[in-house]
Formats: sequence, structure tokens, C-alpha cells
Amino acid sequence: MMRVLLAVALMAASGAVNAHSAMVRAEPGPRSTVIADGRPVTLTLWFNERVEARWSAVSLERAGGEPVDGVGKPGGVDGEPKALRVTLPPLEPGRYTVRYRVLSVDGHVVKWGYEFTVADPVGER
Amino acid sequence: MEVLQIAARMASTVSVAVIFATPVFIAINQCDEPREKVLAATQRLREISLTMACVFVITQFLLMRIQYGQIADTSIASSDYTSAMIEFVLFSLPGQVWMVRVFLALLIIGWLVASWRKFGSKGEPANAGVALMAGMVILLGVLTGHYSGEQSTLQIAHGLHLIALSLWIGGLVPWLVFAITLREESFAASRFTVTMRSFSILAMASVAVVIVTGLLLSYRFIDTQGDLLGTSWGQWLLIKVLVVAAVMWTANRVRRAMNAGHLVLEGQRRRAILTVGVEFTLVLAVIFAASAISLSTPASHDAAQWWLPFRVSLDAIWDDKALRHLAVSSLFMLGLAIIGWTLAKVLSRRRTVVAAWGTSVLLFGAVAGWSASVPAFPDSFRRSDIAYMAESIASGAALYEQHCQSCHGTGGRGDGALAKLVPKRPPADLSAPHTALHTAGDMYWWLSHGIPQSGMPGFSGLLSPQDRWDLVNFLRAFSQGFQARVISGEVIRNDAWLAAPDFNVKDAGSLKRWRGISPVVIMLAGTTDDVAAMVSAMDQSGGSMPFVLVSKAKFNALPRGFHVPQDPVAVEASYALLSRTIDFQGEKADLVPPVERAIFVVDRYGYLRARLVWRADMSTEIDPEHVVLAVERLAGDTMVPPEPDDHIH
Repeated sequence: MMRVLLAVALMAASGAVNAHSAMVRAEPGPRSTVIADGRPVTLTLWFNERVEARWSAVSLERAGGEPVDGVGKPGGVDGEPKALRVTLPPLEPGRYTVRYRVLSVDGHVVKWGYEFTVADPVGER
Repeated sequence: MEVLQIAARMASTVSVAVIFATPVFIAINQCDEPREKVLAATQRLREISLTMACVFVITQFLLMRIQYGQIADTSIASSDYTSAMIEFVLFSLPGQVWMVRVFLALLIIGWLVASWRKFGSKGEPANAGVALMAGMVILLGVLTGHYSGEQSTLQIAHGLHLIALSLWIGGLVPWLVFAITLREESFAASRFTVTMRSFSILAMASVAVVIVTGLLLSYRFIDTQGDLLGTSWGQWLLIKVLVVAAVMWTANRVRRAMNAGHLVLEGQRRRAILTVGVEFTLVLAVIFAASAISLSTPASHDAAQWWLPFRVSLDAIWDDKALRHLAVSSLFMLGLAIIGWTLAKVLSRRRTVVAAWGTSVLLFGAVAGWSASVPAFPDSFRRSDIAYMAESIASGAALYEQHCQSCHGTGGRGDGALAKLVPKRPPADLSAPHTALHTAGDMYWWLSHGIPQSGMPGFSGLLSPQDRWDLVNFLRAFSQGFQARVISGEVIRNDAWLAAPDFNVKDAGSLKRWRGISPVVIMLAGTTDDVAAMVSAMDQSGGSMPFVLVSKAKFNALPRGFHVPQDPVAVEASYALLSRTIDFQGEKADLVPPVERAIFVVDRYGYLRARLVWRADMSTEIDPEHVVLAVERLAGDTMVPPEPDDHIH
């Protein structure tokens, strides 16, 4: 009922609606654990709408906020216009924060971030 | 910068609407006498269209300049600005759409200039061409609007919405130009009144299209009352709706005067021009608000700040019989009062009758609102930044044991060791159904600031925002576990309501990776025999689906299609919360009910749809065919449920 009333209140108002991309999935995802194996890590972010890879940016920070060097430039994923892929350098064990800044197809910019953990192979559960 | 951006966007919208609607207005124009006045009006409109096309191009360049400044996260005075912007225009979809729109506007300018001598009072080819190109400029906006990623129905609705809106607002300019150009003595005698009637019909049809498509489109974006009242996007929207109402009221005055024949009388022209002028000014305000909306963070992506001490929720008061009856009956009476008021407006001109019905609407609306209102807080409609994941729920459970169980009890029933020492009222029983009726934002507020009425302290100084959201996610899973008792091993078609917590899966991303692709079966404490039996049943049925196995058993290699979570302890604890059944809801002291083995069937939309649970004292065994049947039955769903509410950016 409330949704209907709200929708009535909104009538005539949607012409200028522009929304932002929202991340719907990631690999490595929020709170996930990656095993440190000395190899680069491929980070893939999926969004709810098409994003412009060329004008998007991804950075990585260590737990203390120190930036990680060597993060690649994000690129598109073949056949998946809603996804971004970026190569991260080999990571030492610890907690990391991914920060991304993407350009939606509607021309808006969205910034967000999340944490994941890199674990020592010995400590794998 | 923002005001400049809003103003530029407004100018751009209005200018293309005028270019589009002018040829349409000329095509429906019935006024051809006095000839010199009509030609003068048409000539003026051509000049206005040309000016508007120039305004469109200039404002588009300005908007692109500002937009690229924001995208590049630099000042627009950046030195490499021009080359970077050209790259953006050439290679990004927003840039390419912008380029085509500007190109079409330049074509319009060229067309108007080239056909300068041929322009007449009627719909020549030049008019049709201009309208066509302007219409394309308007429709191209859909490609970079939010609906570009949506289903085609919404994209079509968006296009219709923009076209209808442009016809309505853009048509007012030629209306005013004709009315001003036709002098007093020729206004009443000319056939312009016929044109006015035609335009009135066209405008009313446009408004109807705007309303219908607006309903369809807005239904997609507003989820809660907090989205409307608690965000700048929603507040601009309310301003816009109010101004639209004022515009419609003004337009109705003109229509009524026209229908009564007042406008054909001498001396009424000035009044009509003044009224339509006011309407056009209000329309500019509407477009300003719309431009501000387009530059604000959309409501469903913003953190709503609720400013009223109450919110309206039928769900939250449903268990209170008296309030429920009062709310439902007053809503019914409100519906009758609205019908009565509408009929009184249409059929009866007596102000007292209309006022009486209007008072009834206000009265029953107030009673319905009051009876369905519950306390609310600034965070009531805030969405969680932390996804509803097993890892978060497990973290919340640990925090609960550390900070909450001394009062709320080891089993969350409000019977902790310190419960009797709480000064004002006993701690809440978190298993009670009402827990699930509070918003996540309500719980976040209480966890942050406490509940002074009950003596519960706030934890904002002790727990980080992530910790508090983890606790909220845990409380949600804990409470929903009691509601989930009705879910059995049988799938009820089209009955998706319980979101399955997401979790990270080794080498496979997370549970979400199968959303929209396939149902998933989650096996808690599956044995090697269980797995073998399930593989056999799947082979016999000829189907395939992903399995996530939480098991202490050792497997040399998992069968094809089987996966394991990254944090099996968190997944087991979280899904055990959802394992309570009608027969067994757990001991009062157990926060997490013990589970011997369990199977959860999650549909392709992310909802938990069937459960098979075994306790230690059960003698029956897992029947793999039962699971296969449950999954097969999911294929019979005919309705697509909304996304489970796990909004994160």
C-alpha cells in the first residue's frame, strides 16, 4: 500500500531519474580470504549495470591505509559489460581494502570499497 | 558548480522540448487569419527554435565540460582537459550519445537556416524534419538514463515519458507566442480558440502518459518512505510533485475558462496569457527540480536521514488487533472519502459539499496514519553498508555473546543473568516475531544510541559501524530463523520471502555467482555417503546444479558441481540459525540450535525455498530424490521476486 502511495506521489517525476552503478558481486569478495601464493591476484567486480572500464579506477590499501603499488588499470571482461577486471600484484598476508571508482553508463561516478584478507598458506583452514 | 549544472541541464531540457513541440503545435494550429499575424507568429517561432537549438548545443558543451571534470576527479581547468574530454566523447557510451545528440542539434540548426524561406504557417516538411530530429535527441537520453540497463518495457516507458513531457512543456511556448502576436482585436475572432482546444486535448493526453509512465518508472526506484522523505533526491522529488500539482491546477483554470467560452470574449486575452505565463514559469520550476534530482544520489542508493519521530507501517502494528482494525477501517473510509470528494468535484459545484468530503479525506487520512504509525529514528531507513553474509552473521553472533547476552540471555530470549537488574523494563526477547518488523536501521540506531526508555546502553563508542551492522545481520538471521520454521522440504511455488545469506565459496566467488543462473543446494554436515547418494540421484534425474558442501568429512576429490565455502564455520553457524522447525525450535539457552545434518535449497533468485533438517535423535536418512524433486519444482515458479534486500555498492 505504502509503495503504491509513494508511487502515486512520484508520478510525473521519473523522467530525470539517473541512478548509479552498484556492485553486486566481487572476486575476491567482501570478507573473503585469498591464499598468498606469490602470484598476482585477479580482482573482478560485477555491477548491476554496464560500467565504463576506461574511466574507472581501482586501488588497494593495506590495513593501515598505505596504498599498494602495482595495481593494474581496470579493463572490461569479454561478454560481461557489467564487469571490471584488474590485476593486483602478489600480496603479502594481511587485510586489504579495495577502493573502486566507476563510471556508470548514465555518466555518474560511484566510489565504494570493501575489505578482504590474504592468508598465509599454512594458516588455511 | 552544482547550481550552474542544474541550470544548464534545465536549459537543455527546455530548449529541446520547445524545438520538438513547436512543429507539432504548428501542425495542429487551425488559426490562419489574420494571415500577417499568423506568419509573424510562425516567423517568431522559427527564431525561437533556432535560438533554442543554439542554447541546447551550448548547454550540452557546458554540461559535458562539467561532467568530465567530475569523472576525471579534477578541476575543469585541468591542463589536459580538452584532449581527455575528446577521448571520453569518442570512446565512452555517455560521450558517444552526447556526440550524436549535439550532432542532431547542429543538423536542426542547419535545417532551420536552410529552410528559412520555405517556413510557413502549416506543417511543411521542414517542420516534420525538425520534430523528428528533436524527438530523436530526446529519446537518445534513454540510452544514458538508468533504464538503459533495464528491461525493454521500462526503456519504452522512459522514452514515452520524456516525449510526452516535452510535448506538454514545449507546447506552451508556441501557445504564448501565438496569443501574444494575435492582438486583442484579432484574438477573439480568430480560430486560435480551436487551436487552444486541440492543444488542450494534446496536453491532457500527454499529462496522462506522463502520469502512467511515471507510476511505472518510479515504482522501480522508491522502496521506502525514507527514500522519499529522508534523502535529498526524494525531497527534490516532493518539491517537483508539488509544483507539478500547481501547474496542473493552473492549466485546469485555462481549460475551464476555455470550455466556458470566456477566452473568446474580448478582454480575456491578457488574462489567458498571464495564466499560461504563470504555468510556464511553474514548468520551469518543475524542470529545475527534475535537474536537481538527476544530479542527486538516487534515493535507493543514498543513506536516508529520517527526520520524523514516527513512520507508518501496517506490518509493524499488525499484531495489535485494535490498531489493526482501526487502521484498516480508516483506510477503507479514506478510500470512500476520496471517491466521494472526486465525485463531488466532478458532479457537484457546491463548495460546502466538496469541503465536507475534503475534510473527511483529511480526517480519515490522519486516523489511518496515526493508527499505523510507530516510533522512528534518524537511521530508521538507512540501508546496511555490510552485506547480509554468513561471515557477517557469524561475526555478529560472536559480538552478541560478548556484549549482549548478559542481558538478552544466552539464547536471546531476554532472560540474561543481568536481566533483572535492568532498571526500567526487561530486555527484549529477540526471538519474538516483532523483532523482524523493526527496520535494520531501527536496530542500528538502538545499538548505536541505546534505548533510554528501557535502560539499554548505546554501543557507538565500543563497536565500529561494521560491528554494529554485523550485529544487525545476526539479529535478522536469528529472528527470521523463528519465522522460517514454516519452510519445509516441499517447495511452495512463487513463495520466495526468506533471503539466503550469501557467503564466499572457495574458487567460485560467492553464492551470488549462481544468481539468475541456477538453484543451489547447501548441505550442512554432509557425509561421504550423502554426497555419493546425491550424485547418484542427480545422475538418474539427468539434471545438474551446484552444491555447496559444509562437511568435516575428508574427500580426496569433490564430485563435479560440488564446492566448499571459504569459512565453513561461519556458514554452518548462520544456516543453523535458519534450521529451526515447527517441531524443534531449539533450547531456550541455545543461541544457535544444534543441527545434525541439513539441506537447504536456494532458488536462482537468492531465496531459501526448502529445508530438510535432521537432529541427532532422528532415525530417517536423507532422501536425495526429495532434494531433486524440490529443485525441479522451482522451475514451476511463474513470478520473479524482487532482489533480496542486501543492498551494497
